[in-house]
Amino acid sequence: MKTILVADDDPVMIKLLELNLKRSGFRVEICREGLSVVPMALESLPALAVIDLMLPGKSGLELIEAFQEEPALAKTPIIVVTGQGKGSTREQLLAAGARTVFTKPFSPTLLITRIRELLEETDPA
Amino acid sequence: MNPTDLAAACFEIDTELPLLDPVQLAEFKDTAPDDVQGLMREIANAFMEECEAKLELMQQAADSKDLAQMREVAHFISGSAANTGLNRLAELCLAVERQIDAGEFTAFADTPNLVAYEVERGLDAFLSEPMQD
Repeated sequence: MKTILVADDDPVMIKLLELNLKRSGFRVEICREGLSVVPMALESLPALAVIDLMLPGKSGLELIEAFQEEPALAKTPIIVVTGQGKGSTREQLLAAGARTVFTKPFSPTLLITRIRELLEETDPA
Repeated sequence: MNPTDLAAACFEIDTELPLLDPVQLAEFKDTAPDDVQGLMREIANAFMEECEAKLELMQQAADSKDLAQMREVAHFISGSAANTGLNRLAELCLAVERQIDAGEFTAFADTPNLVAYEVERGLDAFLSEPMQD
């Protein structure tokens, strides 16, 4: 069973993603604080990470860079989720290494579909 | 002035803007087809609990005229509300955020109460929404 790391401090997002991911057959790890994401990821080596752009302690952009600096995490696909306000643009996030950017509100169903696509690309069955 | 008109005056929020986003509400049925009402109660509780803490931070930001904190809280509530389907609340907080970014925000005194009003109104509508299991 593949592990998906969800790094977000919004309990609504966590609840929705956790339910949808578990129903889709994934194991879910939750991290609510930016500074704990990389240590947790190094421990569990998730197949993919869903990261909120504005996480307390470390931004999504900083986390993308931190993943790339760790050999064990450098190839882990990252999906960034963000609100609609001004912040790092989709282009900046994709250029930094995010594989996909979802803007709230988004469909958890479409997120799961995208997760499956990315996992298929990185580890075809 | 009632809160709806005040939100229109301060943030140009359309007085007719729907409280709820039916597209997002439909996602809850996809997530928990066998107990959508149960899921919605859980979501509402999680949202309300988080909002209570965020509204306190928003009031602190208003009292100290802290734009950075005001923006951070508004951004959080906007995103969370959007994913919860609380359309009007999401738009209000997004408008707060945009005004701050444009250097035009002045409604420190009114904003926490306006947001609190929309939280309550939105959650009432959310929990009253008839979603069939």
